[in-house]
Amino acid sequence: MRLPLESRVLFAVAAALVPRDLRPGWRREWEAELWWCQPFSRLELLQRISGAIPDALCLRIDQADVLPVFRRTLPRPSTCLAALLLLIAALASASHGFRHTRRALAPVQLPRLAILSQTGPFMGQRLGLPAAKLAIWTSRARTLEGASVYIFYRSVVSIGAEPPRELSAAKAGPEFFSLLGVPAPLCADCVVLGPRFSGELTGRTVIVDGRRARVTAVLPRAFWFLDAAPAVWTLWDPASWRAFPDSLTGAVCRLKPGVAPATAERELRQLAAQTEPWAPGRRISVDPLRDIARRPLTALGPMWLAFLLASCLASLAASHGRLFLMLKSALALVAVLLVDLEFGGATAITSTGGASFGDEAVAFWLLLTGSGLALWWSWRDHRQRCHHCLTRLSMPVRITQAARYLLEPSGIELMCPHGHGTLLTTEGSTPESHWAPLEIEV
Amino acid sequence: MRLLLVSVLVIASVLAQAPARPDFSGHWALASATGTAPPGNLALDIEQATTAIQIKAAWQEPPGGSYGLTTIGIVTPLARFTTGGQEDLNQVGPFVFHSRTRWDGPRLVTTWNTSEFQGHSFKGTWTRALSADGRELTLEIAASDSGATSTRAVLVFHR
Repeated sequence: MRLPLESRVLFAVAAALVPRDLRPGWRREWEAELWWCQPFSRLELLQRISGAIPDALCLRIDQADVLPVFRRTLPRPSTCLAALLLLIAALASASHGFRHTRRALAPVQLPRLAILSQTGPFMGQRLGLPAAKLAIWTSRARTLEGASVYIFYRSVVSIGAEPPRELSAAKAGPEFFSLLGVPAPLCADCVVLGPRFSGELTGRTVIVDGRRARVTAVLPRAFWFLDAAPAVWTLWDPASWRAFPDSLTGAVCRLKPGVAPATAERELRQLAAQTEPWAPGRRISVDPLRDIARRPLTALGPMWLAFLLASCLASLAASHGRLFLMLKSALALVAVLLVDLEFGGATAITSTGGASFGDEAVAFWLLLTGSGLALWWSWRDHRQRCHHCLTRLSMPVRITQAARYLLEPSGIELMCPHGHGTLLTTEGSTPESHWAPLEIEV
Repeated sequence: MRLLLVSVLVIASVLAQAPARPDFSGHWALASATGTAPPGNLALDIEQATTAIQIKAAWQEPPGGSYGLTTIGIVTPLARFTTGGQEDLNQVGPFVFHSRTRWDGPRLVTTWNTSEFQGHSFKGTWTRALSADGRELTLEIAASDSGATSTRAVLVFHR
């Protein structure tokens, strides 16, 4: 089996960690494991191979007495930076290569796409639109090139000989995929499968919502439309779910070239006011898909940059190891931001292109407290490092006696393991630290 | 040979002691409803096998297109349930209908819950029973929605 370059490199690194005498057997075992992963994408393969690193480390630890090595290595400044880089690498592995962050940074291919929604009377909550009214507005609007409804739900799906299972699904208007520029036709007796399925299913028959349907297309892996990631797309029929009259649909539109979202918004609000007695407190919004995808970065970015700037300024004011402190703080802040974006709900987008109150609040507070804690840890760690070689100080000793507190400074003295100096941290109402270099090097 | 004979006798005795299951098969028209307002001309076509039951419903769409959600899962074109207590999945409008059906003496009890759709979900229990002459089917519904509103209803069908 021929592995992609990045997987080969990672595999070679893992193999190098395995003790020499165990390496041939370990290699055979992992090659057999990877043979089963041939249909995987490059990213999935890389993720699978990343599991070889802890496996190799286990073998290494089993064979060697690594404790003295750890004791020597852990206090080094390079170990601290390596640990932070390793943490970021682990985050990359757990988040499918920073999926959400990449999406927020990626250029939007169809910049004229926008989500139509109406703000509700409760705290400006974004709601869907009544499908029938959308059809009237879009037929009269001069700023829109086209629009389509969509709605997310759960469906019972059976593919091939598999037993029926519950999957996320969506219904969309016939013009939905053409608006998005994806060649995936939707019709009454056909469905489009999401990117999680293999392209080989095209043309096969599946059972969706208890009805047989032909698969006309499987969406490409790069396809993204909000966060629901439905497994199956079926055609929206106005008669669908007539017994559930409260269901509001989402709506996506394409603006005509040169039309600003604000212009379209004004026109649609006027149309809405003309065609129906509009409920008070409700307004139509037109939000470009590009802005929706980038909102996590635009919302959290300024606060994060402020923390970064503060850490840089604090690093410049440090008495020693400025570059190390700057790097350490920056890496810690990057890790916090990535955790927030990938796992903190910062990038969660509702079906109408908004963010839920809970997710936004959690993401904000996670970044605020996470960044604060990261900087606190970074600064605290830095205070306990040698001013000469930046190794963590060790051998804490309590200085002076309780009976002489008033006469001499009391505190804890730490020593550089390489003998570069001692640090005395004094206690009391104004704690201070004094670095005393030693002239004798061990 | 002796072992086979004993096994056959044991199975035969167990079968002889098992209570007879009522047969819900047939065409049932709604005769009365209390606690809910089902759509007009509601009728059920039930096919019952040893371990499964299939229910086809037909009804007249009300002018407004909507009716009480107490009858969710009943007013649906087709639903299939196994009677051995396994989980069944059916599609009911935008909801996935999770249910387990088992016999409780002569009554067929279905406990169910739905997936969430736009912040709403439902759960409940149906109890089906036949009258002594087999000409009347009673369906007791106990349902509640995610807002903790509970309803109870009884639908009576005649053959």
